[in-house]
Amino acid sequence: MSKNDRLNMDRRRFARLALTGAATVPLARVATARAESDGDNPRLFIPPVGAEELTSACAFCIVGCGYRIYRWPVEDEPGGPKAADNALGVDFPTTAMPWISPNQHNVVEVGGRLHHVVVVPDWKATVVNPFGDHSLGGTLARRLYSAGDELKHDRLLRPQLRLGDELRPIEWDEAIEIAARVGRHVVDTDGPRALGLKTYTYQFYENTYAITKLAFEAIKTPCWAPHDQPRSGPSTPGLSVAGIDAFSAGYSDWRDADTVCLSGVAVYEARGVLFDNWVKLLPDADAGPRLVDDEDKPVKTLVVINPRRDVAAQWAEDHGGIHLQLLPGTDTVLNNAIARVILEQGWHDQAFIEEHVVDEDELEVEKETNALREAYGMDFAQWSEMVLSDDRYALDQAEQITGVAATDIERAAALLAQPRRDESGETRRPRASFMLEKGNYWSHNFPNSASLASLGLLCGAGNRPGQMISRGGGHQRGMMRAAPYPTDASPHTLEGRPAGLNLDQWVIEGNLRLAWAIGCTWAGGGTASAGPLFVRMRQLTRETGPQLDKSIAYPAGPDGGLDVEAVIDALIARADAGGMVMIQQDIYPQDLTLLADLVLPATSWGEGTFTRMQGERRLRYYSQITDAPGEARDDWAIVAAIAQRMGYAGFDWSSSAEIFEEAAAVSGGTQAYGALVEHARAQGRSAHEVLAERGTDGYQCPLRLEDGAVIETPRFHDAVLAAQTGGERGAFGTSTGKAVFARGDWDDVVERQELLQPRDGELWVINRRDSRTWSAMVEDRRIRHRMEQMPDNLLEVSPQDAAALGLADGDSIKVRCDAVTDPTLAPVRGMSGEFSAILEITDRMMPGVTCAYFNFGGSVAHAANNVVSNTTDPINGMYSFKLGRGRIEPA
Amino acid sequence: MHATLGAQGPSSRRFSRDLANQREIALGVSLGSGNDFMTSIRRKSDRTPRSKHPAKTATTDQTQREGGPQAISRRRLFERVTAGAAALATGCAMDDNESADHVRVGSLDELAAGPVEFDLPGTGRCFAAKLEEPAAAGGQGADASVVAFSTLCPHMGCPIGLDAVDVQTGRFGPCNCHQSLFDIRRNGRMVHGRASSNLAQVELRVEGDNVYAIRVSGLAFGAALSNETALTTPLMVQESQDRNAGTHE
Repeated sequence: MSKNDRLNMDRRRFARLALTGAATVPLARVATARAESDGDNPRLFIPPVGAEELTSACAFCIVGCGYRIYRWPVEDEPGGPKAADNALGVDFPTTAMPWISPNQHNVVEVGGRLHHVVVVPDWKATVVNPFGDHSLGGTLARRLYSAGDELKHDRLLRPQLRLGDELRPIEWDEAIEIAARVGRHVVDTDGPRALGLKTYTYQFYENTYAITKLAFEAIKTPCWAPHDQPRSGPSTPGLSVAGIDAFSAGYSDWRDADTVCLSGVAVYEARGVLFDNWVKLLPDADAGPRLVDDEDKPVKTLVVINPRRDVAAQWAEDHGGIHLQLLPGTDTVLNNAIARVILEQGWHDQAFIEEHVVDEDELEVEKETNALREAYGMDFAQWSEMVLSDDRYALDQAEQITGVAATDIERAAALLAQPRRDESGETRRPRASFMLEKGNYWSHNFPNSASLASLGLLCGAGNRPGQMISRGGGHQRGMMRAAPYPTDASPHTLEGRPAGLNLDQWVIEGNLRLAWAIGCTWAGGGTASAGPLFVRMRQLTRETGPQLDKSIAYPAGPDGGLDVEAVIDALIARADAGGMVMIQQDIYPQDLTLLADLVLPATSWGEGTFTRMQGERRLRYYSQITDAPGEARDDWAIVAAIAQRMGYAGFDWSSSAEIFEEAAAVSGGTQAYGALVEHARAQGRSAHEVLAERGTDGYQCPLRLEDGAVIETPRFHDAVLAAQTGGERGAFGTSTGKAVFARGDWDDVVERQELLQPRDGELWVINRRDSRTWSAMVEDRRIRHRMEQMPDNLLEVSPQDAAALGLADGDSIKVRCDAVTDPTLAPVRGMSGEFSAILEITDRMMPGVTCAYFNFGGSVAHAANNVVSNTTDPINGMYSFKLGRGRIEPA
Repeated sequence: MHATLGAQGPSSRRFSRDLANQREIALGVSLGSGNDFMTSIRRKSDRTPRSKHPAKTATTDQTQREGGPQAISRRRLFERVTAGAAALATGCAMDDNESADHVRVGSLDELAAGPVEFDLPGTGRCFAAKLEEPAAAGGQGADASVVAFSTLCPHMGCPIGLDAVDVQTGRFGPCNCHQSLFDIRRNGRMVHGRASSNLAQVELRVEGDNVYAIRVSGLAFGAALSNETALTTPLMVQESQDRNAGTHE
């Protein structure tokens, strides 16, 4: 074929030939060669120019990566591969984001019409997930409900009423009436403590505000617990005593630290973008001269404290850091041993302590204002005396207790605090930041978090760039309390201090008449000794009469209409007889659905307009992307309808935007966003609208107004800001504005450690997150790409343990713990717990310690918490979720 | 009193073994070898090729091609991946004798010596490998052991090098950028990491000793999503419309 022939051929054939990789052809010719081949045109799903563009943030982890959404009617012509022909402004194929992968597309209903929708990571982002990095959220489009998707066939679409073993669809008005009348009755008959709610704390401000307004302000029930705790209370009380907010850091602080200590944080597995884009990066040049190694290269090191060798632990070892693979539950000894080395070497930041930590007199002031601080607060002299005088924190004994070699403890101390040379040739102390997560505080809750906070203060961390103490975070922060938790109404105390009511205990004891679960796997990942709790719930609901059946609910036959009064009478009769009525408000069925009397369908991410905050306090607007599926309603709307029917005022909102503006008045601390609402009102606009314009950047809270502009807060505890404002902003969360050393002492651990220790052929059974899944795997089981990756629960076991047990890789096993329950809880005393899994032999676990995924499928049958004791710690009253134990047996 | 709500996992050991194999790939654990996923990361900096033989790159010298598959319909390799594509074919001389429907990857002997890289217009850099055991899916050749994939990680397009191919375990990766790991014995399924889709697989045809790339299934990073590669197709759209015509239950 001559060159002229080539140039003269029709464009279709030209395209084929051109793309063999061997053509010298003008680019323009190729660019126009679309594969329009006689009706076999592969129709493109590129957003067309004019496609509606929205923004949101991820539905999953604390990082809250930003996303852009494009949607257009299916009848419309799609966009073209040239930048001028599509809404992305990108030429396809593209080597940069946004590449639309198959799982980033879906077909959904918008205004009753089918639309194509693509959800792509925000490639223009400079905060949080720069350049569009992402993890699980890459499949957000597949999370959306699409009626054509068989994997979502069981989405809850209509209210349902249990009639025997059957759940029967009913009308919303009927469901609201039943819920409200039963709720009204139990509160009027047995008081507020007869009605309890177990709810999420992440699913958007508007929803949690409505829930807590009903629970705390209207009903005033102390029977409320978040999804991951048995009672209301701080997750990290050690930080609270120290005066440190758990989310005070900005993401740049992790980057700009020379050394990051990760205590119980699966940073790659559960918040991967934070690891890849912030934690493991070298400090920014603007942060000042960086520390260098022996070859004068800038270094960034990690000190990873984790019984399991996870991705960050391996990265630490590969990059000059260290993995401290401790025995479960021994963090307090390890933290104090590291601190002791630092003290003995004189590496501690004395100047910081003198300026920013309470002295003896100031401590007395703090003790008077806070009961927990009164018991556990210390000044530097007291705390250092405790650490230096206790031989258990000396290297030899610490090695014995923790299983961490003395040389490793010394190395960790050096990485955190030993002065080293930087790029300018000067010798300085490392900037060290400290991150903790559930491996720390869901072990021995108070002592672990307290000892880590104190170690951080010792190193001068807490209120300076690259020198912060914060949580990594788990889920996003969607909790907005409409009113304070009514602690006075709780009959429970801890060490003589008023405490939140232990809702699981309350249920087990048979004190609850109406249990209302909103968006959580209560008897699964949300409790300890999950099996026994589920059994007890079943006894109180399905095994206590009266039970509804068709003859009661439809006395005139199936076409005669629901007899709402008869249903209410029957459920009230069960409550009066000492049983329990259960309402499950959720998006998909789960184990609780087997027990629930009423099942109420709720909306989820992308199905309403909502707001919440991520790990560095960025408040974002979450756009509604699709219609609510079926008859599902926003949680706030369901709660409001029931509240009004119960006779409570103040729930007559017509939109989530109204709630957001009302809630501003109670938003405080790191969540304060009242300035945004003021700013919007000054413009005659809604706050939702103004926030939406900020896209994926959002606003970094707390916010304040200054000369009409909204001012953000990069770092919540900030020494410079505190100095500038006289402590009004930037100070530690204490009355003096100074931090307090928190007493994390092995004496407060040893008895509980002994209680929880494996015995009689048992092994430690800790649990973990996994980068392939999210939480209870509600979405994972309904997105094919995710289902493929983790088809079964896995138990990681060391080669030595597997050999001793005579088990092989891939064996089907069960993990069992006899008498896992609190012996003082009579109804479940002596019950055992077990879960099933597939065995995985790996040397990332040490002998004596195994590890399971924590909440496989959200199912009671697979919950690692089945082998976790439902006793709670004596100081803060929380479960030690990470300290399970059990025997491993073939299934 | 016992409250045992567990023990509902798979019952057969064979099923467990298959899962174990999947998990083995996922986490880099080779049965009996102890060579686990973490080891694969540790070796990143001093990695020696996991394949037995040095990697090779297929030549694009079309004159070496011998014979070839029959001419195929237009719904094949290059039309699909280049639907509306921008210029990719630059800088190479056109061979008047080559077919538009396939690209020669190499010979079976070459593949037996180690994975081979080749370029596909519209898809970019790819590799072909001969596994030590038949692929569970997507394999070609007499023993279904020859596979080929895009080298671009579907997460954010980082190229993954040939030294990340393990013909023994079927592991490809982890990607140096964000540690995504793929199973080339099972259609390039992502078994660990952050990609939102699996590796694009190049479909092959083996003719005698020659291996040809004839089609791409799935979507290589950067290419335009079409109804042939989207998981939601016009058929699903029609089904949705049909369902919406009824009542929700």
